[in-house]
Amino acid sequence: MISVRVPATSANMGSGYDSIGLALGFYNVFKVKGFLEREIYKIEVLGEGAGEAEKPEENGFVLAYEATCRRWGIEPPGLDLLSLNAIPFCRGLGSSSSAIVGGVMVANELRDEPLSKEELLPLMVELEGHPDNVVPCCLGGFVVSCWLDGDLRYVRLPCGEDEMTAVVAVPDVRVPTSQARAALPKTVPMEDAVFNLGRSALLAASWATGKWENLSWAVGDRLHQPFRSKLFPGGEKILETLREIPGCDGVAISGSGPTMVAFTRWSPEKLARPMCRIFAEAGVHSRFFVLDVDRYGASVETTADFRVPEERRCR
Amino acid sequence: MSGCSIDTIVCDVDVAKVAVLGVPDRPGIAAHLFSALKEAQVPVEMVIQSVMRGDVNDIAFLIKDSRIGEAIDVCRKMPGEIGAQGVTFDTEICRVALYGKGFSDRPELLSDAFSALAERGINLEMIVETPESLCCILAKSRSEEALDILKKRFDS
Repeated sequence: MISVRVPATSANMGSGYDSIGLALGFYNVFKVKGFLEREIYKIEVLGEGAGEAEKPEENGFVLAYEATCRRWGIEPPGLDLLSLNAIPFCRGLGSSSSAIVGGVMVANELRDEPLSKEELLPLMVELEGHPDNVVPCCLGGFVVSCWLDGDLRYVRLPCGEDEMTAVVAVPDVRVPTSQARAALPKTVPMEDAVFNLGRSALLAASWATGKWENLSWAVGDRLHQPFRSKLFPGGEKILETLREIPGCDGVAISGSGPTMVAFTRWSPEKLARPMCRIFAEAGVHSRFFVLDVDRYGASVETTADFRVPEERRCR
Repeated sequence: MSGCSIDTIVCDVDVAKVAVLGVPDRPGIAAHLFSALKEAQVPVEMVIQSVMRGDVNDIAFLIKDSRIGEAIDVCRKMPGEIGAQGVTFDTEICRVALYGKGFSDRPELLSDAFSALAERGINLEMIVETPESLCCILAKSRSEEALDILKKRFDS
C-alpha cells in the first residue's frame, strides 16, 4: 500500500492574500491499496466529502494523479483508493490542495526515480492555480510564495512553530471558492494596496522573528476580507469581536472562508468559545480545532511488500 | 402517549463534545487517550467508537463544558502521540435525555423521539441508548425547542 498523509492549510492569513499560507496539524490520508487497469477506479471516501467524491471525474486526488501521469508521458493506471478525509470540504482549509498534493505524490511513486517534493511543487501549483495552499501543504510550516507564468518562488519560514496555536472555527455552511472570488472588486484603491503591502511584509517578518506583538496588526486586510466576511453569517462580527479579546494575536478568514482562524499563545478556549457562539447567534452551528503548525508537510509511506507493477511504472 | 414509560426528560447544556478522528486501529490507543484524560482529571461520558473504517476509528465523547480547557490540552496532542488525523471540539451542544424503563424492549420510543425531533429539522450529533435512558446530543440553540417537543410528544 502507498499511504500519503497530507496536512490542512490556512491561506491568506489576512494581509497575505494569495501569497501566505500555513500548514496545520490535522490531516487527510490517501491510501492506494493497488493499481488497476487503465480508467478503472475503485474509490472509497470516508469522513468529509463522503458521497461527493466517489466518481473519478469528481475526485480531486484522481484528477491530479491523472494530470501528473499524463504530464510525464504515461497513461495513468487505475487506482484502488481509500480516502480518509478529516479536512472539511469547501470550508477554506485546503481540502482541494490536499487532494492535489496527494495525487501528485502518488503519481510520483510510479517514477523509477521519484522527484523531490520541491521539484513537484510547480506542477502542484499549476494544478491548483495559486501557491498559497499547496506549498505549505507539501512542505509544512509558514510559507510565503509567489507564482507567475509557471515560475514559483517561495520561502518557508523556520520560526514560531512551537509558540503559536491556531484556533480554527468551522461553521456548517459552505462558500464555494468561485463565489468568494466573484465577491472581490476588479480594482482596488492605491491606499488599500499599500495598506496590505505593509501588513503582509510585517506579517512575514514578524513570524520569522517571533515578534508576536505585531501579529494582530499584521493580519489586517482591505483586499478581500471586507467583501468575503459578508458572504457567511457571523464573519464580520468574529473579525470585529476577536480583535478585542486579550490574548488574541490575530484573527482572519481562513482561505476564502467560511472557516475563521485566530492565533494565540495563551488559552485557546478563550478564542474558540466566542467564535462558535457568534456563529450560533448567527444561526450556524460550528465546531473548532486547536492546532499546532505542521512542520513537515505531506509524507508518503509505502509498505515493504508493495511494488508498482513493472508495466505500470513511469520512466 | 398511553403506556409510555418515560419518567423524565431533561436538558443539560453543561456539556462539550470531543471527537478524535482517524484513530489507528491498534490495541492501547483508547487506553492512551483516556489515561491522559484521567491524568488531567477530566471526567468523560458517552464514549462512542464508530464502526471501523479502513483500519481507523473515530472516538467521540462528552465532557463537562467547564473542563474544555484541560481536554484541549490533552487531546490536541493526539495527532502526534497516536497518529490520529485530528481532533474537533464542540461547545455549542446540549444533551437531551429521556429517562424511564424498558427502552430496549420498546423500539417505538426511539422511533417516536427521533421522529418528533426530525419533524422540526433538529439534527442529532450523537445518540446513546441504555435500558433506562435515551441521550441525544444536539445544537444548544435548539435545546428549548427539543425539550418542548419531546415533553409534548411523551406527555412528560
